[in-house]
Amino acid sequence: MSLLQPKMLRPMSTSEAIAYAVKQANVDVIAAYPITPQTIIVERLSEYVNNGELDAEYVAVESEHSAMSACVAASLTGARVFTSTASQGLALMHEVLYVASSLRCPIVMAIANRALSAPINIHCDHSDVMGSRDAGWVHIFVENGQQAYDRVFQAFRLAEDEDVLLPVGINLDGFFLSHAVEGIATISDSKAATFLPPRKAKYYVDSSMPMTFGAFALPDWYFEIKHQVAIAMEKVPKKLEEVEKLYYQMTGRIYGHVGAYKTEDAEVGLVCAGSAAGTAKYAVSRLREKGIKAGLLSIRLFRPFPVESILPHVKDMRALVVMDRAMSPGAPSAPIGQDIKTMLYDAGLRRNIPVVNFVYGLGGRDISAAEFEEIVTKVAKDVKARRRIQRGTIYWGLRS
Amino acid sequence: MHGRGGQGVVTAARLLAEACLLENKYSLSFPEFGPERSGAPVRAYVRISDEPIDVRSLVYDPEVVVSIDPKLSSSTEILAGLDDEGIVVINSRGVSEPLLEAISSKPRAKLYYLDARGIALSLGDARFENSAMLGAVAKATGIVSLGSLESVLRTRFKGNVLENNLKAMQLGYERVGKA
Repeated sequence: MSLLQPKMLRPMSTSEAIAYAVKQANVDVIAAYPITPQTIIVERLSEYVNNGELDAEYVAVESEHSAMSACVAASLTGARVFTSTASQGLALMHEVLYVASSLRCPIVMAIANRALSAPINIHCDHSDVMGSRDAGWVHIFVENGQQAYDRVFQAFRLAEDEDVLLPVGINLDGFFLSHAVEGIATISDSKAATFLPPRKAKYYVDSSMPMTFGAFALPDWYFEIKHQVAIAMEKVPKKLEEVEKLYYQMTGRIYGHVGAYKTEDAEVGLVCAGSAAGTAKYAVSRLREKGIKAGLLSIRLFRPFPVESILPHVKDMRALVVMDRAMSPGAPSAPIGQDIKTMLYDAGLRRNIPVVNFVYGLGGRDISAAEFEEIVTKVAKDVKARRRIQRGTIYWGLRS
Repeated sequence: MHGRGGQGVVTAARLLAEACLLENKYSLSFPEFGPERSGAPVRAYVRISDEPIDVRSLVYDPEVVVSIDPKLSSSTEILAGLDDEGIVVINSRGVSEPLLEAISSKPRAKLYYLDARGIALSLGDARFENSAMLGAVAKATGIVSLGSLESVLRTRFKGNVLENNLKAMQLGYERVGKA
């Protein structure tokens, strides 16, 4: 991957980088509710609109429920629409998220992943998006500010593809990413415009061409209409690959459905999503120095779950450590653990590759490289000694 | 970097990180907030590297510790995890006994102090103390030049505020002392 010299980069927080990309994406409508837990993504966007730097309609609504409702309506007119939220805000949007996907609105939303109340907490975990993961949205996790910036352009291009027409969530870890400042390689406005020409909706609300949107559907058709969301989802991995190839030609940057590091000969695979991936990558390099064959798989495309992209990396591994930054109380596994186990079951690998599922970092609790090393070292030892790998969900880093 | 909400700890960390970019080093800065209100303890972290930075966790074994708050500057807690050859820069007129004693267990560590509050108040506003501390950090650590910090300040402030921040930084650079 081509890297620019640090002095060529622009210092921006991930939130600022996203706002800047959204401006360059030349969106038509932004609807958002600016209160904690928001990020400065929408604050910057409101400034861009106010300064005249971005010719868009900024709708200041009275709640996140209204924000997503306004986004759906705007999107149905053929507009390019963006919003951003976090934790409680996403929870309040919940019912409208399903409307957005089923009405095939290619909205892009940045979600600064933060914990859900109670207790009241403003810090990072993935509980918010995991609660919405069945709403029919494409979900992408980013690991740093650069990915967040680049994914904005890719997300619009993917969402607006006529074969996809699904809303896309860009998930960035609250604080660990949203507030972190680093150098970002930006593209020029003209490159952005070439990559992302104005949206051309095939069907949209137009009084000269009357159509029905959001109609009633009874048992005779509801199921088929919902099924179309599943069909569109299936097309996403291939489409994202195409979008990424184009973006790569322009920027030299490509991320894929998963971020793999030293997986080729790995015996123990570490699976995670979000900002922990970079820390885990460092942990894997340290484990390798100690002779432990660890590998990292970072889930970058989370919905649809990129089974075909993950399997080749893990098929010969002897154990997987799956790290979830959310819990699913009472479920047999935490969210990513469930997906990984299902994948292995379907691939006929459930006996070959035991999965240890950890829940970590709720409410913003940090995880260090040393902790990742400790976790993987233990599992690697069990694998070597042919001991039974611990099953069930392990809550990591709890105070005793 | 330690301080309290309202003292510009997060801003100081960001300015330092931005100045490092200008010197062609990769940098990452991020805050660790408790309750977001003025007066509450706040930490901000900066990683600086010649290579792209992967690690996103908090910093547990700092090579440089900066305390922007005079009260926190007498606390030994700011030394937690300090590298054996670490550098500590505190906002204080002197060095407290407990701090001196604590750092003596690391004979190769260095401790610097600056009356940043005094400098800031002489310029008419306690809020200039973070800039004074940045000047002190530049001198004590050599990780970044005063010129790069100045360039970053110039993109961020203007008029009198800029002038006073630049003065505070210059005085911090000149007056920082080694304990």
